[in-house]
Amino acid sequence: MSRLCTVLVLAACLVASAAAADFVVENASRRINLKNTWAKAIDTLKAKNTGDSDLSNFVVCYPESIASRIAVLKVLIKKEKQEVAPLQQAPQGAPAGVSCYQATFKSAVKKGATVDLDVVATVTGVFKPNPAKIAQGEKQYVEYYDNLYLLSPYEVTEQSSTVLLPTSDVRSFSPQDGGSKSGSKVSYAALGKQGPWAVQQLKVHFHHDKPFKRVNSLVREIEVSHWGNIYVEETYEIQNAGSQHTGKFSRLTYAHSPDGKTNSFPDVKAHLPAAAHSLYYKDIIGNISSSDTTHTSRETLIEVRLRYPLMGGWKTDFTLGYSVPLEGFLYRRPKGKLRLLMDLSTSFDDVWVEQLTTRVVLPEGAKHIKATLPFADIQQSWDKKFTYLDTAGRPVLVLSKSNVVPEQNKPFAVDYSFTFTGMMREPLLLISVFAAFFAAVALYNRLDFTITRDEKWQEGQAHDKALGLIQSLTEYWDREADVLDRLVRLAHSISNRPSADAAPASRQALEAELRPLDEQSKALLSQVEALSPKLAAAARNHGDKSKMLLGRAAKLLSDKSDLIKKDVAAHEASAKLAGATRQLEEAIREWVDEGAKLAQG
Amino acid sequence: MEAGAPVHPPVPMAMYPLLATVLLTVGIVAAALFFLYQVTTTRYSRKIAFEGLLGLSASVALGLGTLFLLLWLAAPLFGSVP
Repeated sequence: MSRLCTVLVLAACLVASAAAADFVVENASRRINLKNTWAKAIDTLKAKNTGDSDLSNFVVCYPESIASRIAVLKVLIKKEKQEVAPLQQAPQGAPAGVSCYQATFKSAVKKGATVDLDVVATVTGVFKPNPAKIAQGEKQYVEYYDNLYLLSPYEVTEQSSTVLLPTSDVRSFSPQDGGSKSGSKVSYAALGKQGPWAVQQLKVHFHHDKPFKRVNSLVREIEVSHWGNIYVEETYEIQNAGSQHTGKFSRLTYAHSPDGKTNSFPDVKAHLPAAAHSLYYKDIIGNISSSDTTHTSRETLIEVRLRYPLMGGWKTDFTLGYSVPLEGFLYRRPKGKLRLLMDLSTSFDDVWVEQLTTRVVLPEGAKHIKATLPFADIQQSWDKKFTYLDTAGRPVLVLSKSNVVPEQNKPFAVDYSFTFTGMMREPLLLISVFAAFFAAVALYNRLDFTITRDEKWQEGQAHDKALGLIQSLTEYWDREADVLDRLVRLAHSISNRPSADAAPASRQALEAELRPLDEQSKALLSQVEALSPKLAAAARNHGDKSKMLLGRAAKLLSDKSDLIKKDVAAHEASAKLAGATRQLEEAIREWVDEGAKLAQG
Repeated sequence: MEAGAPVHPPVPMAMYPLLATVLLTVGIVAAALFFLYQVTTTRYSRKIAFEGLLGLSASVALGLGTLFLLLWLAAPLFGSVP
């Protein structure tokens, strides 16, 4: 800091006369807000175009120590953002240690006109703890260094600087003259006219009562599954960037007095989407149970209590994960594409992230991936992730950005195309694995690994072949049983003279059906004979029994017809023949069962 | 950023437990029938068509059942999923 001071003062002596002969800042009102753990400098400028023509470029500058830590830089005219780009080289005549940016106005400032603009810079990590180390219970004092005047290549006619502090405990501020402290404000009201590149170190040494929650690195992995969920897993390394703790740490003092806590913090709060579910909070040791989740209709508020309170300089790491449904984050776009809308950075309050890496894992087979990002300085790269049921790996879009503050947690979009067939790859993979297993079993059962093919084996083979043929025979036997059943039903259905007369004809028809069956079964039987005489004999026996059953069924039919013809009432006739009918039916069942047993061998 | 119609999952997530159990049960039964058919018939009496049908339906049911089992349980157990 003292080096900056020397450099700036030396440079001040070399103020070039070649001021940019275009703008003159008529009034510059600087408000430097230090109430948070990062600095926010809002410069309200009124600049007049004193050049020869319409101008649309305006240069704003900062000391290098601040410029290197700028997270957000905005130039607003009537609350409308203008384009800002860093300048590679400071303009002519700038002192060393100065970084500049050029704002390009949307509408040029006419010659002689004035423009009111606001330059807002959010800067992290510019508080220097002094004393650097404090014991437990001591208050945290930090120093803030800046340029007292508006660091500008233009001449400044009138300016004032105000520093807003979080507390009214100010140890010192310099320069003393021109400045006044009232409450938690240090103001330099009228700083008078200054030429371009006016440098003067401003230093404020004060008590900052907020803990400095700095996330050293955050890896945010967003995995999209089209089966219904988006999985977000965030891995944090968080450190207390305030005055370092030295000496002993007493848990008792910590718990029992507010002084025991000072610049430390035990937890961080996050605002997750309302539909977030299946939250988990863990680290390398395992699950961390000290957390509180509140579900409301607008958000899910989670208070994550760290494993131990972070005193100054202490750090810890943890992983927070949750799932959200597709609705609200994944949308259909024209031409079969899909759009994923997610927030870029962390949803924790009051933290700034030094190194942010957001990884978007898309389903395997996603193509034509394109990201629309809210900031230009986000680096994109590609990676592959292998997880459940992956063959070629899932494409991962890796976005990196450094120095991210909460106001930069904006949504970004990733467009890609993914077909339904692409999604079916996963179940098809599983199905084909099982199918391969079953096919292997079927194949194995067809293979024969007998070493000696002796007589016994031959007999066994012949027996098996015969059984196979008998199983085909059972088809014919089933048809015969069916015919028998129909005969019995026909007998049952005869209830009057005309049907009795028609009965014989139906009987003939049914018996005719049996004839071709007989022929075919004879052929099969002869084949079985060749293989296994024993089985053939049994099968023939069985076939003969069916002939006998056929005879009984025919007799039942004719009995019933006769009774009807004798003008006996139908139900009486049925009752008389009930016994015979039942027996016949039982015999048919038995015959069918026998046939089945025979086929089993 | 513009967005279009929201994307819905092909199968509502509330049905995962039911689908997983039903499909796995059907699949295991079909697999059992397949193995029964394998051991109760000889290689001369087996019919490829019937075998193929049983095997295919068993593998479809088991495959889909495993998928839904994975979808249902992997997130609560491991934190991420297919």
